[in-house]
Order: sequence, then C-alpha cells, then structure tokens
Amino acid sequence: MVRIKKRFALGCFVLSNCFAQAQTPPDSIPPPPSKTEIELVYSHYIQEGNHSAVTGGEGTEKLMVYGPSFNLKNTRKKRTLTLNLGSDLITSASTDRIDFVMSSASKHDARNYVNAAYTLKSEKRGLSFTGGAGISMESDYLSLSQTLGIVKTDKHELRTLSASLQAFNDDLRWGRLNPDYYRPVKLVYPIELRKTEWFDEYRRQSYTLKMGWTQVVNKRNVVGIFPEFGLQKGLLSTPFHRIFFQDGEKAVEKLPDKRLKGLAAFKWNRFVGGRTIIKSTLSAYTDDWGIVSVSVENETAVKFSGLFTLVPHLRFYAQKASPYFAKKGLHTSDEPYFTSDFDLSKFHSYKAGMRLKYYPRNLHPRRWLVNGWNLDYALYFRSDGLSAHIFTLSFDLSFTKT
Amino acid sequence: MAILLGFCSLMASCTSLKPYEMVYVKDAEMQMGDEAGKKFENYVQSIREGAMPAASQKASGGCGCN
Repeated sequence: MVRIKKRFALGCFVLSNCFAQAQTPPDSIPPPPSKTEIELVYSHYIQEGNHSAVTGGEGTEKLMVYGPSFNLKNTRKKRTLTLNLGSDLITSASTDRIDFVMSSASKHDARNYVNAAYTLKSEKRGLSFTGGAGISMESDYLSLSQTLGIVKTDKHELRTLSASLQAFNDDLRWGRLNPDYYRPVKLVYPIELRKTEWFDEYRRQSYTLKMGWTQVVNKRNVVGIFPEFGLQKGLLSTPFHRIFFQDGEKAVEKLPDKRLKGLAAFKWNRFVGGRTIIKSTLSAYTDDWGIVSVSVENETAVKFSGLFTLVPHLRFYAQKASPYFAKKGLHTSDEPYFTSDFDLSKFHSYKAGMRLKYYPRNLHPRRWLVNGWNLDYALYFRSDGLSAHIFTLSFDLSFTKT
Repeated sequence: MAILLGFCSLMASCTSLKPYEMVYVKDAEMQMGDEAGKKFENYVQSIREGAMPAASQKASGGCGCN
C-alpha cells in the first residue's frame, strides 16, 4: 500500500513537471507599465503698486496675469518624457504707459511657452541623464532654452547629487504678437524717446549652473544644499524703462551688459510626529550689480485623515539695493549706469499663504485616475508698497497602460 | 556659525536605513521638489526681486517687465 502511494506521488510529480511551464527567465520579465501623469494648472496673479519703471519709478504697477498650463510626464522602462506648455495672458497698466495711449495694444500681452525634456535612467549605476529644450514668446521677447542635467543616486537611495546647465538665447525685439507684423521688428522705446536709437544690441544670453546635494540624515530628516551660478550677457536693460534726471532730461534705463550671480540655499525637511512635516529653506544671493539678499521660508504640512493636507507657508526676504538704482529725478546723466526699477532697490518682502491638498487613497487601480488636487493662495507684500495676490489651482491625473 | 554647527551635528547622525524605516523620508511631502503653486510663486519672485530664487525653473526666458 505504501509502495502504491509512493508510485502515485512520483507519477503526479512527473506529470506535473510535464505540463508545468518553465519559470520566466529574468531577462524576459515583462516591462513595467507605461505611466502618464498629467497636471492641469491655472495660476492667477493680481498686483498693485505705484513704482512702475516704465514711468520712471512713479506710476501704477497694476497688473493681472491669467496663467493656464499643462504638464505631461510619460514614464516607460528607463526613459521619461516631460512636456510643459502654457500661456500667461497679461493685462498691464504700466506697459500701457509706453505710448501714453490708454487701453492701447500695449495694455495686453501674452507669454506662450513650450518646454520638453527627455530623461534616461540607468538603475545599475544610479544615474539619470536629462536633455531638454524650450521656447517662450512675448510681443517683445523671444527666448530659446536648452538644458542638460545629471543626477546620481546612491544604492541605498539616501543621497543624491545633481548638476544641470541651462542656456537661454533671448531676442528683445518687439512685434511678434502684433497683427501688423507677426515678426521681430525693433526694440520698443517710450514714445517720446524714439528719435534716439539707445541700444545697438538686442540679444541676451543667460547661462545657469545648478547643483544639488540631498542627504537622508535619519528616519525623519532630509537635508539639501543647492548652489547656483548665473551669467548674463547682452542687453540687460529694459528698453522702455524711463529715467528722469535731476536736470529734467529724460533717457531710457542703462545697465551693464554683463551680470554674474551666485546663490546658495539650504533646505531641511523634518517629519514630526505622525502627520506633520516642517520644511525650512534658508538662502543667500549676491551678484556683481551690488545686490545682496537673504530669504527664510517655512512650510508646515499637516495631514488630516489621510485625505487632506493643509500647508501654511511663510517667507521673508531682504535685499540691499544696487548702486545703479535711484528714485525718479535723482540720477544725473553723467553716471555710467542708471535705473529707477524698484525691483533693484533696497526693500524687504513678506509672503504668507495656505495650500490645501486633497489626495484620496485609490484602492481600486484604474487606467485613468484622478489622483487629487491642490489649491494655493499667497499674499505677497513688498516694503515699497507693492502687493500681490497669487492663486494656483492644479489637478493631477494619471493613465496607466498595462 | 550656529547653522554650521547644527548642520555638522545633523551630518554626524547620518545612518543607513532599512527599507521599512524609509516610510517617513519617502513621503511625498518630504521631497525637495516644488509643486505647481510654489513654482509659480518662485516665478513671480524671480521677477519682483533682484535675486533668483533657489531651484527656480526660470533664470531667464521671459521679460517680466510689467
């Protein structure tokens, strides 16, 4: 009886081996599914102020920007494609003063932009390489950009090192979005100063080297250091910014044709308790135009019921003025450089806001998924009186192809 | 100096973590990247302030002269 049982068991084993499929060899494991993430974003910007550089440092800075954009990220195997396109529709009271004709064509403008990037990942080496290009167009501005980047992640995923180089080639001639031209024509000067050709140059080149180092310190702390260096060359003045000299004469803004910038930021993200994350950023900046600045920022994310996250955020920024800056009527014409743009003045600014995020747990995976949404509001206030309301609403969707 | 000392003490406590200990540092909120709202605010700051914000997308590529 025992012998029969043994033979039966052996027979079953042989039979099962005859019909069993061979184990899938590692190199034929099906590739991970293709995943496409889509982000629909709408940003809205409302600004008030009374120091417009278009009117020489005094005058309305009322501005509104409607900014829809679309971001797409497709990941398949080792490669990721990203696409970012959008438009900023601008209604500006200050640029309306270039020609003193209220509600003229200069009141409305648009910035249309497209950026694309390709990332290739080598998991064995923990490396990823990115190459990208972009274009941005306004009526008085065309910018072509290229980006190259590399990220190295250690095998335990505790440390990353990154570096990227960005190059921008810009053309500041006006006319591309004007129905009479639809091509670059000339630099646009304030209407009463158009008898003089103030600049020979109409191009601007910018290069930025960004580096990053992040480190997981322990179970609850991650830190990062981000140094950046920038070089700009070409026409760095804005040709329709007016200058009023002490003697009553007028000119357009004049700034050096080169600018070197340096910045370093330190970030520290800390998970406190079971539902609170404190994110702090400290950064310092300097350039050879005499601007020195520091900023401190804090975001505290509090998770509620696993669905909602509330993120109050605060930022303080202080800046020393460039020696090229003076208020309206204080410059003299014998100075080599002059501007009345309050963006280059001495000031401090505050930003306070709140972000609400809703990301439900998706227990039933579907091909199309609405992952969640974010709503962000911030109030920005600058010590020279400029203030702004900034809104952003975004929806995250994803599509998984199996 | 205090920041440097704090940073050094943080670095001194660096440890290797087991996969199940990564739950906090892998949380979406713990990542260093910025969301759409923050990116737009950085873009505004890059125009309205003399400095460039850290890790901002834009170093040029737009007039921002309004």
